[in-house]
Amino acid sequence: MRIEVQVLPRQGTPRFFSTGLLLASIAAGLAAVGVVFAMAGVNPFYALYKIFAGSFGSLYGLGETVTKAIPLILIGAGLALAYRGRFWNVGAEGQLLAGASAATWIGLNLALPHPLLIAAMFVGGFLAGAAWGCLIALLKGRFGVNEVISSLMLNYIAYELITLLITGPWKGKTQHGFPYTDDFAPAAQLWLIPGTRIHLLTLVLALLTAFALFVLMRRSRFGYELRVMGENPEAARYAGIRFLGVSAVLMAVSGGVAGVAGVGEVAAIHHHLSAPTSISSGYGFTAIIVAWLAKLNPAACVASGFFFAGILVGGDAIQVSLGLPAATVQVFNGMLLLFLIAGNFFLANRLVVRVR
Amino acid sequence: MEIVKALLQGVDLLILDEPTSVLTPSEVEELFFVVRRMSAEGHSVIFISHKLEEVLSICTRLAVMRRGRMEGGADPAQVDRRELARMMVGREVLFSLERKAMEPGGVVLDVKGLSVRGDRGNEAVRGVSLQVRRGEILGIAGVSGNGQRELVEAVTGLRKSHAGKTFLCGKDITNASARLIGDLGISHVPEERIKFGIVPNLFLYENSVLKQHRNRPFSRRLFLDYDAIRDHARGIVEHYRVSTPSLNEPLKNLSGGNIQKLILGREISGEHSLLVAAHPTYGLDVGATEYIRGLLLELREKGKGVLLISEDLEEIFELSDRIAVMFGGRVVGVVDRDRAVVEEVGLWMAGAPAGGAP
Repeated sequence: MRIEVQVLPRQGTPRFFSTGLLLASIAAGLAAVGVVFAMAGVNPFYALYKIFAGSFGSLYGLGETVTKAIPLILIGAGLALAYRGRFWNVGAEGQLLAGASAATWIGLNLALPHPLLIAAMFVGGFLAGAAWGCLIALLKGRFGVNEVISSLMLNYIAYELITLLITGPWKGKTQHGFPYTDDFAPAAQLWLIPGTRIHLLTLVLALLTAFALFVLMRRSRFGYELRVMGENPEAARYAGIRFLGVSAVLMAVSGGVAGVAGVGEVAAIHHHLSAPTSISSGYGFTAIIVAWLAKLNPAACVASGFFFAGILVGGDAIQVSLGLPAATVQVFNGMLLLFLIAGNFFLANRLVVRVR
Repeated sequence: MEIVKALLQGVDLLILDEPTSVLTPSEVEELFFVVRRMSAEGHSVIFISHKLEEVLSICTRLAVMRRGRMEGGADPAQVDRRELARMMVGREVLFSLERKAMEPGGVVLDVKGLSVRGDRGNEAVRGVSLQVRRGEILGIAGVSGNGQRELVEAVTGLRKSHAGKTFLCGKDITNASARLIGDLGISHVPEERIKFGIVPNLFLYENSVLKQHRNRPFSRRLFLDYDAIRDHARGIVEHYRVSTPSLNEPLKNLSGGNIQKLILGREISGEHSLLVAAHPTYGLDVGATEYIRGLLLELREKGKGVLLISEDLEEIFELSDRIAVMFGGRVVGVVDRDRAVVEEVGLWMAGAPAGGAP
């Protein structure tokens, strides 16, 4: 007996199939995560229950989940746009930090009334993130530098620059020697929904962004050129679509919204610039999975961003209650991403197994 | 080479799949001579081809495949081209396309001493000069890889030339961008249509405006007008008989002939004065080939210039008003169709210098 497996391209995928496959990928991912929990000596069902109870099961948990969903939705929507153009931006972390730094400088140095100051911080944060992102497009378009490498490396540059700033020139005089900048004056702080850490303004911005990027991708000329470029670069060349132009705008938007997420983090949560890892806690990387779970649809990032925010919050909860290491959440996220991408393979191909 | 290798190993069964597509006519004759001798010596040969003359001249038994099925068999002594074509297409096929006498008009495309480098930095096009007039089809014959691709890419703005000039209706377009050249009036049916001409995963209607998507009425400021685009796509599908389940079909699900009809329809529908068609019927069935060739002749009658690049001499002779032959990056000869002789053009394709070459 011989078993033959053939991979054939799939033609025409009905909607229920792709949705079903998505759910199956998540289920398979959760099962694999369960194995990891079991190996760590924890009942996987109990751990999963704890995760979702921690994030969605209480008013406090829910508030935290929404708080963490804000940057994930913003960045995820921007990454969905970039990945549609097959531009593999993995530098959202750096773009977020660029936005956070710009907002910090504006918040500490400009004496403006509250609404104007907040607006200036958001605009400045967007521009800084956009510039950090555009640099990657420029490096690729002009010098052919692979964007995965350059965007990843720019993350480290952003990390080190901020560390330099908060221990050097920007180090706060009122922080008793801690490596923070001074705290923002109230005029530079975002209003929070009482009893939570939800910064409503950024939340609204995130929802609007997700919707606006969806429209941009589906309806605009730029969105069309972006999808053509992503699906078939040769045809894009043939159609006179300029790679550098499209990818620069693409990365300005993708980086800019990551920068906006950074503004929200410093202006609402921290009120000062501190160590890069505490400002962002890996949103720029988690958002990669948010974008993929949303099937690279910016509007769907609202749902997937909320879902992954829940996992982040729930992951914190089980660290405490089950005594699991901090890396558990990353294992969890990584597993899910792996299964989601594997799921895409089955969306495009079908396996034919023959036994003879 | 592969064929020679197979022959040396002394095979019993030789399968030739479109063996003549990269051969010149005289090489085809040689190949046929060898194949005939093999079958006379008792070897079996399966000869796969879409060229009717070839199978009729060389095979002792014929089988016709269509859409993955055996459509039937025939004895080559008892069928003619027309009958064979009907079996292949499933309907009657016209062979000699009607061709009106046309007086060519002013010069549309003027290429002067153009030199272009290939992908590996080699000089792929060496000082090529040619002219295409209104109401004229200039056919470029030649075996693939003799600079045709680079010439087409330089003319359509996809590749930079390093010497020489190109003019479109008197306007210098040397090394202009593909976008500008498209806007100025050169349409382009590219070779390898799936790789260059379309975006397989996008819907039919999205593909129907590739390159024109920037212009009115499809684009208004920043946004595309998808209603106008759908209307446009519907127009192409109806007018050019593209067979598709719907406008929302990913283009990769269509057959090669229907994809080509869409590309041609798209390229013809815009304002243009010159169409560059590279291997427009390569790999298409007889029915689609006939239809596409008819469209090219129609363009000629409308007073457009057509630059046709093809390896298929039958196609070149059927469509062209003048025939230029490229070999080794040079135009080795240009001849009026009425005075051209297939054998002579074939010799030029193989590199023999032309007596009266310009």
